[in-house]
Amino acid sequence: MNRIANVIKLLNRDKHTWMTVPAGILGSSFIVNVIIGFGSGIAIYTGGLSSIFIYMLVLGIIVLPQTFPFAISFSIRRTDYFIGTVLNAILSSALVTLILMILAAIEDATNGWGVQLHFFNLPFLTDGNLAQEFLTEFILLLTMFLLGFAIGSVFRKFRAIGLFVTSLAAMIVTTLLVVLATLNNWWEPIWNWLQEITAFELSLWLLPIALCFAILSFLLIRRSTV
Amino acid sequence: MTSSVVEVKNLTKSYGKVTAVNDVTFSLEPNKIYGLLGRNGAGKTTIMHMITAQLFATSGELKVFGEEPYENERVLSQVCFIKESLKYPDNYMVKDVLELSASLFPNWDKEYADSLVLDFQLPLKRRMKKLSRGMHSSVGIIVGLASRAPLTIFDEPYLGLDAVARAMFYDRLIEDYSEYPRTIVLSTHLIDEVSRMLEHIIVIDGGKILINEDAEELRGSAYSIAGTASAVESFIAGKKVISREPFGGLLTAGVFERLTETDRKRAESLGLQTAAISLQQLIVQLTNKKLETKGGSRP
Repeated sequence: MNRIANVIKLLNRDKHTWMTVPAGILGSSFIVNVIIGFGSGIAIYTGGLSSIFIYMLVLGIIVLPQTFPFAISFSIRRTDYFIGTVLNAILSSALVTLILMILAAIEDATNGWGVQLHFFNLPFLTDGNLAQEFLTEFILLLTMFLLGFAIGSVFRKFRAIGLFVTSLAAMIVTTLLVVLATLNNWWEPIWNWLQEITAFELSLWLLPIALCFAILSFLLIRRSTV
Repeated sequence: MTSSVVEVKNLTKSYGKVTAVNDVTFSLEPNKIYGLLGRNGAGKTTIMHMITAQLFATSGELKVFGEEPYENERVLSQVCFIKESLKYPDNYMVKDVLELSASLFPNWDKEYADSLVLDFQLPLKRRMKKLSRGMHSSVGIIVGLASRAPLTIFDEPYLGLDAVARAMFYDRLIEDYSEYPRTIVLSTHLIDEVSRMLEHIIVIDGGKILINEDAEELRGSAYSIAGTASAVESFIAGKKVISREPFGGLLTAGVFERLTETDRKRAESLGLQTAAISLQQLIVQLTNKKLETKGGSRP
């Protein structure tokens, strides 16, 4: 347990990457939207919140090159590194979600920051009850991180060529699925399903995908070298 | 007889067709200072990476503190490996590295680390990536010393350090080693600078072990002989000659043999001068020699 705590300590010593930068990105996006809301005078629904989800993806990608060689040079086991990093991402995702929900509550109470801005409350995404809202955003943040982490792990183990092959494979699989869906007339049922499903239900579908990313990262990190 | 700290048997590491480390066998005894010497690309760093489980061996056996090092907490917590190319997270400050080391290395001595920071005049709040090359190296040296790991490995840790700082590193290392004995491996090009500290020397060349000998033994194991070419030639006939430097009618030859009393007398009678060969000289000549013969064997 102590060893995993050390990994979390190692990551959080870098406050910029885990706190200042994401807060700065989300904050600047928010301020720009408030200014626009102030100028326009009408109700605005903005996608500025997506910046934090994109950042989690970026964070997942950069955390390995930033800390993995350092960690194993300083006698940290690969398994501990993996568990510590994923645990830190879970804690961070939970914390970010909590902050987003508090800000959403303030947004609600102040009639959209006084300018009818819908930045933290968005239709579909925050439709459910509080618990559902929390889980939806939390799972989405974590999945984005783990996707990035899996990308970083592929690069760590197989370098650029591995990333290239994986991207190519992913594209081919996607293309095949699209062709399959078109040939079998699956688009209409898919479209109907997407219209009926809530954001919370959709986020639950992400869980197995996130788990796959995590397992892939684990297996690759275990075999990674400096 | 105490058990070895590191036990390496037929260790091989290849990358495709290139064999970086080729069938290497050696062991490291506890509480000794080892010199792991060799030219660039000889395979030193690769061997040390395998000992610390940062690289995987292609074949062979490797035991550190009697166990496999891979993912082994008991082994890894006793090892500190400082290398020249060590990368720190971009936003880390000097104090981040030191405070983290305090929780990672069980024998960490904070007071000692603080005194070393003063000695090396390190700015604690400066970012690692803003440090000069020499300061960057100093951080590694401080971690290596203050961690007091039972197996401490320094891989060319002095890059960018001036002579004063290097001398300080050697002094601190010797002082602390005599107070807290441990196994230390020094890999370096500056052989003469460290030769007085080394107790055992392993020379790697082309991925193979060239020399694995006690430093004291090795120091007396070669000499140079100088004089007129004909006299030197007659003297070195049948001896293991590692170098030959003609200069006009004179010749200086390096002989990789212990200088016996009879040989010394014979040299004297021939009017030849004998001199000791420094460790650095010896290793340069030995590793050079191999290249020459390789070159000579080409069609």
